[in-house]
Amino acid sequence: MSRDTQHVLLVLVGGVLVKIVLDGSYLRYVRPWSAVPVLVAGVVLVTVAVVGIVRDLRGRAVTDGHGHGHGHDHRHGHGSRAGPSAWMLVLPVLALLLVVPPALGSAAVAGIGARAAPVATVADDPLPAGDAPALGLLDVVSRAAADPYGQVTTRDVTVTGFLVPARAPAGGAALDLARLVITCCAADASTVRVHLADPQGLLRDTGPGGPEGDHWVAVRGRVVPGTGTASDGHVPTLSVTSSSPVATPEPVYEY
Amino acid sequence: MSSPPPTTKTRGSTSLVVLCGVLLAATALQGPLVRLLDVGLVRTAATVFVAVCVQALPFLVLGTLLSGALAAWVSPAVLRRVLPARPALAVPVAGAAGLVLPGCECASVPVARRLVAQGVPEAAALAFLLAAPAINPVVLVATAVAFPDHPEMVGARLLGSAATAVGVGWLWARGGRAEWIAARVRRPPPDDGTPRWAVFAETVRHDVVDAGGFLVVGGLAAAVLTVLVPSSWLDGLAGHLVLACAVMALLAVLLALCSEADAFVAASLSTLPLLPRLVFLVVGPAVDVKLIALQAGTFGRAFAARFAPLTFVVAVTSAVVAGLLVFGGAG
Repeated sequence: MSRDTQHVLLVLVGGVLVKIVLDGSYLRYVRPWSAVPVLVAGVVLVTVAVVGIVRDLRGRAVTDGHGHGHGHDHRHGHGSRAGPSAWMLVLPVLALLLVVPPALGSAAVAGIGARAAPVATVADDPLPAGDAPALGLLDVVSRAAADPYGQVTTRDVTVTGFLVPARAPAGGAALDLARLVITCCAADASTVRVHLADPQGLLRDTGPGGPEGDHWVAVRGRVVPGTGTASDGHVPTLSVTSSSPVATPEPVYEY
Repeated sequence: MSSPPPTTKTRGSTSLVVLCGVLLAATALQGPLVRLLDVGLVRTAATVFVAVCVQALPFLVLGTLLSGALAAWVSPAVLRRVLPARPALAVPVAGAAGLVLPGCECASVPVARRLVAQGVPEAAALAFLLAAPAINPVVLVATAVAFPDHPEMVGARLLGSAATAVGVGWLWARGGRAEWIAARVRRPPPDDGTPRWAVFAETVRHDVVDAGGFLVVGGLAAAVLTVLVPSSWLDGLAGHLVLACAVMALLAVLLALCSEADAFVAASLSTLPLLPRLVFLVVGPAVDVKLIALQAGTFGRAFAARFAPLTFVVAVTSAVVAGLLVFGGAG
């Protein structure tokens, strides 16, 4: 691959990195703190390419004046060529320019996300004030793990997630509410879930998401006391008192 | 190499035309392409592939910036003065340098390459390559956070990874051959009056293009393997310690997780004893499919074919010994 092509490729790679940060789609792949490194990397790549292009134009102008461009070829001869592997850099460019793969969702829960998110035993700090405060799914599971009879079992909370088939169906309720947790990037995604107990049949007509997309819902309810311990694999049961469909949250993952 | 290279102009326009052709064809086929990638596992793999690339590229760029700065502003003489002359001593010193530099796998490869180019003994540069991503403060803190109930995991990881870096370095100092590393690695930066900033920019461009392609290959392999390796591999391993260690070592190679993230994945596999999970944490930053691809691209295939198996064996051994010492058993 010639120098010119390398420069074009670097502008493209740097350009897509800048693009996904500016349009926010980077959150499908990495955590919010990655915005700065990804943006800086994109700018650096474009700058390096532009510096190279400008130097080549100047160098050529000078050497052309000498007739054969000998000095130019000597300095930038085969040493500045890149091997065929450099062509692989086209792949992420195409993926991000044309396809922009979607965020992982319910389709990934059975496969890559099958591992359970690590549950940190957090202190059961006072819940936010207000009626049914919104909590993260990982927060609810962690609180239940720390104290199976804690505040999430005595007060209503609101949690958002997508619906998946229950891992352990019980009592006619066949749905879990799930969220993917990432530590670094989507490659290390793991699943955090609560089992939904639905005594009022609110979710009777709602099914788990499929290939056509995820079913995101905000669920209000209370954790059944005594669930969410190591014996049930840290999957607490949430007794649902109301449920409403919501748009895909931004960011789509929990951290 | 011996045949005269075609002139820059002809070849330049050829590959540029090919690149434009690829871009145009892909744009024209965008619809079918999107549909092709929108099927179950393929969709997940595509997301994971892009995620690995987006996560790793900034670190690769950081590594190449350091590498470019080394090439442009740090003379080989300075490095020789800092490092002990004897490789046997230079190896642990270079390994300890990894302890303070919060690097990542992808960042340390171009830096190690530049160290070799600047005349640092190979064994010392390789010890740095293995130590920097494995035992820096960020990774150790992440491990402590991921294993709140087992603080001894941090010490065991530090011990196992340090032993891997120094062990591989010493073995390479004894048995490694210079010709295993591609000759182009040692080519010094041009010394023909090119301004320093131009040397810097040239080095960065060269390193990114060289290593970036291989990083993409590694990301592709990791994405496919992440999707294909069944999670049932881990079921029923709890009672078989030796098998669990072997499977976890293999998983670390295949999944190619970042060293900042692997502790959390290891922590989530709570049915396993600590020892196999330690093996996972020590092997992962030292050798995985993404790194093997990067090393093959940077140091040459002959190097990667020897370095990866050597590192794998030393890492598994170091992890098991460190685990037995620190946990006093399987943990």
